[in-house]
Amino acid sequence: MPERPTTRVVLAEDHYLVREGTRLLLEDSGEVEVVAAVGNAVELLHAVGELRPDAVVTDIRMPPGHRTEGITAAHTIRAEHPGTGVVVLSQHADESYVFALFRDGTAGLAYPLKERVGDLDHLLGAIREVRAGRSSIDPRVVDILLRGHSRAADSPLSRLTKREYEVLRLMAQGHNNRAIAAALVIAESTVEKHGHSTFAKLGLGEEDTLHRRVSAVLTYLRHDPPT
Amino acid sequence: MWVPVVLGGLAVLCAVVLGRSLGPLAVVIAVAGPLPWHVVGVFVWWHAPEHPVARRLVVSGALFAVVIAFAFAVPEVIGGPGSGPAAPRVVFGVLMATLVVRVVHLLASLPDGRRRFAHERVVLPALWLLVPVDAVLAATETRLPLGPVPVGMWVFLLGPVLLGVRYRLLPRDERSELRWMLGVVLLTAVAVVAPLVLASWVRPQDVVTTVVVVLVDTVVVPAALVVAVVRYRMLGADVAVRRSTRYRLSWVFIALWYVGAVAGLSLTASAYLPGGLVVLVAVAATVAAEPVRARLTRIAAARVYGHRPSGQELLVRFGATLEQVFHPSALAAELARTVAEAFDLRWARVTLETPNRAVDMAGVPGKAEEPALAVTLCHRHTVVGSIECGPKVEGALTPSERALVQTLARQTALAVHNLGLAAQLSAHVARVEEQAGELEASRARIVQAQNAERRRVQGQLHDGVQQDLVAMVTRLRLARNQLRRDPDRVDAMLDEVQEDVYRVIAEVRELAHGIHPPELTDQGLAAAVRSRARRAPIPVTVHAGPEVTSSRFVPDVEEAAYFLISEALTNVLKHAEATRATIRLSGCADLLDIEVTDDGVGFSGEVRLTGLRDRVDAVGGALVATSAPGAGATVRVRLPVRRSGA
Repeated sequence: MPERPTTRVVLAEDHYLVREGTRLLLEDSGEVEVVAAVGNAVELLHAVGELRPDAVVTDIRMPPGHRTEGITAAHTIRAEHPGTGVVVLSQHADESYVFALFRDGTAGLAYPLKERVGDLDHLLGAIREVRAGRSSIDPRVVDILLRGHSRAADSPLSRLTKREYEVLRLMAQGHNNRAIAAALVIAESTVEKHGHSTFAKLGLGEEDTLHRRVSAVLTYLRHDPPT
Repeated sequence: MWVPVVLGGLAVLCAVVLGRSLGPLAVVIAVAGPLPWHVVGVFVWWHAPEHPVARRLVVSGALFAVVIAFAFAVPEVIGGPGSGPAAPRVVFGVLMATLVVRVVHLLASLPDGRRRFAHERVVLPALWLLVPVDAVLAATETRLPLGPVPVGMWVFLLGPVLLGVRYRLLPRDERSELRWMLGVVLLTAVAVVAPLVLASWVRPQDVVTTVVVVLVDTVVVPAALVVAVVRYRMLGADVAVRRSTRYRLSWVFIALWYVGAVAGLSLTASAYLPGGLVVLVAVAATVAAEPVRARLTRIAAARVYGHRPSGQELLVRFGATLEQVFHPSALAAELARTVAEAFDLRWARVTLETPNRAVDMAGVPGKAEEPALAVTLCHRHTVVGSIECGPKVEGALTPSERALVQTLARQTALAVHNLGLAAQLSAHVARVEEQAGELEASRARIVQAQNAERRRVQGQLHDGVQQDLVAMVTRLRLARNQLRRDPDRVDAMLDEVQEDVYRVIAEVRELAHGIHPPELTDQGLAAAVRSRARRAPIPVTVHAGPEVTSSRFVPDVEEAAYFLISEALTNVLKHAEATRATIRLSGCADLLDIEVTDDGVGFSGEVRLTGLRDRVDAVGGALVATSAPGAGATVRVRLPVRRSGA
């Protein structure tokens, strides 16, 4: 097994058992070093300022308000420490939280559902993406987004072929063309072609970087389907 | 006052007894002269004991009786000059003069018995000078150059003259009471006293004519007084309308006496007088008797038809009625009946301008008959109705009766106003009661709905989540067993369990979302509604205006709005068979408008939408539902809102 550089992570989670369990899982992977584990957003910002970690894994609901403290903290961290990526663990599968998180862009941000702590590969993947300045969205959330927007009979999404739809779905999750090609077992050039046609059907311009592409898709999905 | 009453009675008795020894003419004088004065005086005094006119009448009657008794006891005093001793003559002169003065006073102060005008306050006291003058004349046996008529007869004429002056000076509405009396007195003065004075000038020796004509005078004037009192209520309404047994007996007595007096007068006159004068006497007596006879007929009728209340009784009775009558139509009927009966009207009509106009009529008006009196019912410058009085069965309404109608009108106006207030109050109470009932029912429904929701959540936790967890425990146990037998297969089993856990987590998430969506707290109304719409099995489009998406409302409003939208959407999904739905949110400063439209089967007529209405009522909003069969449905709700500072 090749020696990978260890990722320094600050973990924020108010529930003790979940926090310790997550810490053990992450450290058990050998890929991550949890440099601090805190219970609220204030401590999180403090730790980030002190320790300058590579990435942060944080819950959304934390004391004192138990509302969207994690998202607010993510914005602050991304603004003040662009070198630190933020993975926001969410109990909510609803799009409004996704849009709140990606309000100012998708770079360095990931939105997995909280239960992904049991799916270590996915969680480690998200940490790697944000550390690299890219982004990632939980496939289930993307499914919910796409489903909500494709049901309308006159939605442009309904004009996509099945394959184009699949490509769009994986794109929205933050996968690059190679990963999409691997997932769908098709050639990378075919993925590229589907990407072009999808963007054309949705009336979106070509985007060069991956996270911009995710942004474009999210921005598109954010608006209500035309009636 | 008992002294003059008893004294007068005794004097009348003495006069009759003494008169018998002096011949039939003396008896007639005694019976036809002081007796009617005395009886009328007592009658009037009995019914109006405090009235000055009644007191004067009693005193005058007694004095008259004393004068006659004295004259019969000492006949020399009327025998002419040089007859008898001086002392009785002087006494007689003084008595006679006093009587004359008192009678003039009585006539001149009708109908109220008070000296009201300046000239009366000078002339009437000055008359008392007549008493010493007459005493002196009697003592010195001097005769003034005025013919054979005693000076008193001339002074008598002053009574009608003063009464006439008074009539001219009185305010118009008080004149009617006096009209009858003035007419009779003037008629008597012109037709009886004046001819007497003239005749005695021509035939100085005719003493009998003088006596008879004076007697006519003494009968006519008290009779007219009685008529004035009874028919025109000259001394106040109370006198005229009380009908005790004594009252009726008095009347019967007067009537009998009257017939006798007229007959006796005529007979006596025919024995001594030429035919023309006898006819004059008979006509005068009959004319004077006619109104009395009519009045007696009325009394008999009143006795048959019942009692007519006095003004005071009327007010008291009507006041009691007002306390018991709660309905305008009943009030109108009662008032019309009371007025018609009390004032003996041909008809009376009462109109009350209440929300349901109440009109009631007592009696039957003649064709195009104008009301004799129409009084508007006014309360604080607002006309609330009218009382119209038809003409009286006999005579005209007196000022006091008119005043009484005005008083009734004021009372009624107040009562009508109060009835209006009472009606408003009871309408208010009914509305409040209805609202209270509605509120109670709505509260009960809300509690029921909450309980049903609790049962649903409890069911899902028990039968869903808990069962799943139990199943996972069994599968974990199986995995552990497998660990000993075949470790290679454990990994796959644990994968399955993990998938199950994900599913349960998703289930719990949905359940929590159903109880209270986290977006509502975290992201606001529009986000929560979008989330709710996305969960619906049919496409639901949400349009939210910038005024809704850009600011937050207070939590109560957001929750109320969210849950009623959620319920409206549930209704659509359950009943409308719709293929799509649209939710619109818009608002302004302090209002939030919600519209939920579907393309379903719609409904016709009234659909209660009870649950929705309860939710809307609870936050003081308004709900309008429109639909037609096959044309979908729209539910519009407007909520009053406050925006939170955040």
